[in-house]
Amino acid sequence: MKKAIWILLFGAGIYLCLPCCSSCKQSAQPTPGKLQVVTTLFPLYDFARQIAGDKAEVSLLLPPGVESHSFEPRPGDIVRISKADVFIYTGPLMEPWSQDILKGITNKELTVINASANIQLANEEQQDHDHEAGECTHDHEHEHGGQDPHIWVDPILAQQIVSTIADGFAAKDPANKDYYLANAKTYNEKLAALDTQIRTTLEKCSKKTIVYGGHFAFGYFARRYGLEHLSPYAGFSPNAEPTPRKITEMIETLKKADTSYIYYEELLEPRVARIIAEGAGAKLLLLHGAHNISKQELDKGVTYLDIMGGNLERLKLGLGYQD
Amino acid sequence: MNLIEIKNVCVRYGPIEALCSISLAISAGDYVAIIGPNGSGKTTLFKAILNLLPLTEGSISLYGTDARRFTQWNKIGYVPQVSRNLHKGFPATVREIVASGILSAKSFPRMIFGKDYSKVIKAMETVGVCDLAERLIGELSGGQQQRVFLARAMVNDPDLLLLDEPTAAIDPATREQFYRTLREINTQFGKTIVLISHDASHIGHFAAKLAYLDKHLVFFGGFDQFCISPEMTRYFGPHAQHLICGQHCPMKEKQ
Amino acid sequence: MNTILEALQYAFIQRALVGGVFIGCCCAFLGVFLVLRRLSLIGDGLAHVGLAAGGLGLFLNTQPLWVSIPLVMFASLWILWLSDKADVYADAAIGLVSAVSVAVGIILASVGRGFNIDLFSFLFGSILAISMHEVILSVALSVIVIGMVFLFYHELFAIAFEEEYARVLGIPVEKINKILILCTAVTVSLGIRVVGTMLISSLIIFPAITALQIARGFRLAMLLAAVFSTLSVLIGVFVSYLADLPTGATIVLINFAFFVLSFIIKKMR
Ligand SMILES: [Zn+2]
Repeated sequence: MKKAIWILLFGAGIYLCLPCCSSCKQSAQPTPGKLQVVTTLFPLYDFARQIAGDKAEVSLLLPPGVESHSFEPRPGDIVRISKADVFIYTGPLMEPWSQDILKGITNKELTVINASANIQLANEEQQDHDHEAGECTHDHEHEHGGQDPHIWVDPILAQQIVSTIADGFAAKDPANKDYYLANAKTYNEKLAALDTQIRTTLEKCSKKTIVYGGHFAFGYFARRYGLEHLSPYAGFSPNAEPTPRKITEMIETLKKADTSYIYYEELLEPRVARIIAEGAGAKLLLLHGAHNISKQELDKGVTYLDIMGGNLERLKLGLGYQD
Repeated sequence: MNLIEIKNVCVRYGPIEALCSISLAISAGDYVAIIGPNGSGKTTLFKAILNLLPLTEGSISLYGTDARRFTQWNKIGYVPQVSRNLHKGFPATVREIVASGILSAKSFPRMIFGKDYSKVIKAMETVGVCDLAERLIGELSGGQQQRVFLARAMVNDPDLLLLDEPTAAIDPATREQFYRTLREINTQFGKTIVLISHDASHIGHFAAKLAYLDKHLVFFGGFDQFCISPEMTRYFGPHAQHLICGQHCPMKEKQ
Repeated sequence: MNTILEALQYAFIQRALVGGVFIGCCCAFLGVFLVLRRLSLIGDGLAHVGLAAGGLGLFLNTQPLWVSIPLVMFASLWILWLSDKADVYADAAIGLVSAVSVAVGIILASVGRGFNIDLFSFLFGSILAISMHEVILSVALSVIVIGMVFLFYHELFAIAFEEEYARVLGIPVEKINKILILCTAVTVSLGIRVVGTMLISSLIIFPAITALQIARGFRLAMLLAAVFSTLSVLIGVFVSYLADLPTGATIVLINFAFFVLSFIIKKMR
């Protein structure tokens, strides 16, 4: 028995060391002369690397697969932020931990970019106007005046984020100002094209309601393209349970709405969405909120445009696209 | 035949010696009281007999079989020490407690059937706890609990009864009565009884033999020999013996 | 009444009732012995082990259940070993093992981050989101666990009452203890996936202590624990449906209400 315990402890020790070593190597030595950029969420990471090109080294703070709302930085993350040249975050609403950490950082050279700086956040109340069952709430949103932090899902707001980041880079590294601004312009054109594509596609869709089995991150998106949404969740915490009444209401609405698809969110096991889908005889489709990506997606090199393109394809199915 | 044969037994807990060089034989029909001061190893000796702890030296045989290989536990009835708070709130009835004694005669799968319950009733009758059958064990007085455990020990009709301080939780009046019950069991049913007691003076009236234990076996023999034996005199000094024997010492009464 | 019939039409409610009742009965039967042996916190402790083990499972990219069941079983034996052989009190042993597991879990979740799915969402089930597969697993598990409890009822009873005496009766105490603790480990590791941590630990403790308040007899205590557990799941699911409340928390509160009720009944006697 004793022996077995030692073997287990030894095994666990090795096991714990392996990922540590590999992750240590990743963030090992910064290349001199390049801007060191640390971003929190995946969209910011993707935008920043599009803008920075080869002039900067951009890294994503969130480890792949981690649910972004429940993320808490570990000491190494704080060191990474304090050693960086530029730190980009979505805003105090999305990353409530960021404020305390930024106060504590003594690095005077660190440029902090608040991606939502130039964006008027929408109130949640505005967002869910007139549907009965669709109470889309975030725990932290209630704490922070009920505002929706998911600005990146709207391609128009995304362009503003890109511009904010590019301006920050230009201020930090004036020598490459034109390079950054040119990259941002090119990328914003792609985002504009995405917007047009979404607009024209959704125009050909007969249905206007997104039935969502997770915490609804698509408030800005829905408002931008005149869609409505339904979600059973009060609170996004994975441990929070929706009530049975909410689930049955969703099932009934789904049955009546003759929609045969329900969307689920990325990275969380879609237990509740699955139950609703099964009850209403609907199929499950992913609506990727792009907060963060999985390890698989990271390995594949997925981009924000890929994610949104994929979402659009799946929205076509769920919203009854007719050519 | 010797039901219990203890040969040269030593038990040590680490460096602490609990028992040493004990040799003792208990034969069928005996009524033996083991006495001695607190911490003298009485309970340890019982645990050693019941194979509950390993012997450092020596050997114990039960019914002629080494205790470590002994399996016929139904031939031995054990009555552990009662402590009032141990079973408080335990939801078992007296009948259930007594019935659990049946298990010593069973091997896997241990099931208790209707015919076993007639044994349970008989054992409860013998010790007089029939009227308590549906009471919870925690609600009973110390004396009643002691009787229940005696019934549990007797349910398989064992030849040998081992009782650990059976009168510790009992008031003096009930104590006499309990000893009388035991004597009946010894004489009428022919059971061998070994019990631990802390007072020599009372048990002396009932037990046929006394064993005085103080890590070593100081004395083993009849009560009439107890107060005048050279071993005891050597152990206690010539004039201190009456302190152990008390006023009830039969030798004194004879004088 | 109509609302109850209406609720019963939904497959997920049916599965919640079936899965909940079976897991609940397992917990109730085991709970009576665990509570009497001062091991009632083992549900909570092993749930923490399940977290660490599930993290390891995700890490190894396998079904977390296949990693967590053996690891939780191992941890349960470790608790048993600590409290039996190393002279650590049972509650301290549970605390020790669960603290080590939480630490390993946190380190795993922190150091080795890089999953395809968020750890917590995968580990903690909800009684409303039980899949058919999990219902079948729960029923199979319950048949095994309840079968074990019936098969070893007298041994478990004797050991719970007095371990030393059970040895004198010739009962293989170590083996029976292992069987009890392993049944608990399997129930807990499946239970946290099916009904969630909060429910599993309260379904082990509450029906047992409620039954122990009022039962006059051990068989009765077992029966009452199973009845309280079953009732709490049935009433909990329906009340949460009627009153639009989270189901798991409702079941816990109904269990608590049963406990208060039985406490009052006991005091009135
Ligand atoms: Zn979100």
